[in-house]
Amino acid sequence: MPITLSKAVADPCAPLSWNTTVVILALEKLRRGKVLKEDETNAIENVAEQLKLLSEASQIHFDEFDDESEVLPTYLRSSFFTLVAIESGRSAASSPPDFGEAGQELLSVAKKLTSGEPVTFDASTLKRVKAVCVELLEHLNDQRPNSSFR
Amino acid sequence: MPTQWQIECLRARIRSLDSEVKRVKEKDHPYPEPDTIYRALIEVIRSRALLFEEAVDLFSDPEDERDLNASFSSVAKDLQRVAEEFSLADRVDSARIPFEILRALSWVANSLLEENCRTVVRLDTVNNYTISSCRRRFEDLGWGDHWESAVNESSGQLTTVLVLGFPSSDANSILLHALSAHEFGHQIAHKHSVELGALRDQMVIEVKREYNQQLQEYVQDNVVKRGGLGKGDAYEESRKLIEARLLKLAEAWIVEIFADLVAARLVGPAFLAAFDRMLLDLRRASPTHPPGFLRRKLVRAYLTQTLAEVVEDDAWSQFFERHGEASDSPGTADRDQRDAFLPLYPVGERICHLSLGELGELVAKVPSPFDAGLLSIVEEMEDCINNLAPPSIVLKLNGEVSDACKFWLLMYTGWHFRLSADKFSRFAIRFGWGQDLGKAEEALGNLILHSLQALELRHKWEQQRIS
Repeated sequence: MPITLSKAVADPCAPLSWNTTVVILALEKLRRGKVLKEDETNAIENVAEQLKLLSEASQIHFDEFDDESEVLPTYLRSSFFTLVAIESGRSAASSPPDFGEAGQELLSVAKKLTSGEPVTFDASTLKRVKAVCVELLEHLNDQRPNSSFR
Repeated sequence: MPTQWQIECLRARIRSLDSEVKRVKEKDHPYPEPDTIYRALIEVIRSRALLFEEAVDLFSDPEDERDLNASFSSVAKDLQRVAEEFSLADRVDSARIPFEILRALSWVANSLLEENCRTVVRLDTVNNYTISSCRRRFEDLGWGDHWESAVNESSGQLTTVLVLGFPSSDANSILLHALSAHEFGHQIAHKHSVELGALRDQMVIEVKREYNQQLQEYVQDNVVKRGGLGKGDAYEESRKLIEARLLKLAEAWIVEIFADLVAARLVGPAFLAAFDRMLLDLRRASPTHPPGFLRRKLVRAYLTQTLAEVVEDDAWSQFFERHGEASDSPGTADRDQRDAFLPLYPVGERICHLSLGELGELVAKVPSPFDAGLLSIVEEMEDCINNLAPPSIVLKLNGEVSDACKFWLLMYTGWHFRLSADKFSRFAIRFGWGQDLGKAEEALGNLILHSLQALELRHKWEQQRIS
């Protein structure tokens, strides 16, 4: 962090954006029966975990400010920030995506892939999970800074 | 769906960025370290290019429009980050840049951060002073693997490259580098992230109780009524937004104060003197930085507790007095009313005050030249300066890690001499600069620069001698 206020941009969503992009392509490849590379399988595991955290973060409810029990667990912090940004950027009519279910489904895809056995995937599940990932990526892209500081 | 034209534009962007990084990589330069950064960036560009071509291939059906759009934007944003990181590592070559200080800075960074770092320089177009660790920046962006492979390809021993940025207009100001103490404080803060996180949570609980009423009003003022969203849900949404803002502000401000205290341990109030050259408005707060007046006040309080001898010194007490008028909180009325964080600034100020004790304990482990009793030789060093002799000659070195403390003592001495008004004026007159204190400061800076350089070389020599 510079000594004074800087125009340099922070981009905390960058790693999740990249992994989500890799996952979107990987799910499409699976739908077409292609074999995935190791980094694509890793990205699926990573995004499945992140979706689980986003789902947990969405369950948090705050009441009054003087309640001492209200401390956000450290492991949920970045997911909470992402979720808050998604909620405040969401259009009036849209409902938030169901990260919990998509996370579970993505996790089962990852488990099948790492089992080492030949597997097949349900095309409709892949399509559904991909749709949630695309929606997440759209939100993340919206949050990511545009301008360059030089 | 991005049009064919947009797709071609992104392809052209990838090609031009790739060739620009490669072109600069091939240029001659005083030091080789930026090669690691360029190598890592080329890897990032390559991975984005591959993924983009795959996306264009997989999502060619109009039905896949959203998929291609999202992937397209994601790659485009990553390329923007690459361009920004590249601009940080852009090669500079100017006679005004004191490249000599870089080796000495790398040496003290190695000893403070306990990692093998090299420092490179860039000139900032804005009035700011920064030291960024490339490894950390790459890790934060999710490019850690690319950094690792670039490091392995180069030397394998280097762990990070520190990019030092300072204002182009102050390129030849050596005294300004007292600010490196604050910047290294940020790198040290990263190592204490668990303790600082716990402190932040504890402070947030305390201020939420103390500022309960104000925070409730802030939440209420931020409720955005949207179609399909009930009153309770809208309040809950606003509540979460304020919670997120409070947490972010508390984290950023606590880390800033931590870095200030590290700097105070290393160079005493000297970094504040350098800070004054950068920050014109001491009352301005931001979500990432507490206001200057508060930072000055807290550093003074910390130094009064731990280094009373320094605060009571004539040069420093006059320095603090001169800025006494700026040491009161401006209150919210004087601040930018459009700033969404405005109601949180008084809460942030309270957090900083409450954290001071614990932060002081955390920074106590940072080696300080003042702990080593080196303050007693400042006068002797100033005698050297007064006779245009490098002040480092009075410093004894033993080839051990603790030698690095003397780097900070030189910085401290340089500022102490500069701020001792009578002494500095006499120095200026004696050597013919008269009223041109700028010229005299340049001479002082040169003496410090040569001393810092000599210190690092002598340390290496001592190390070899004892081994």
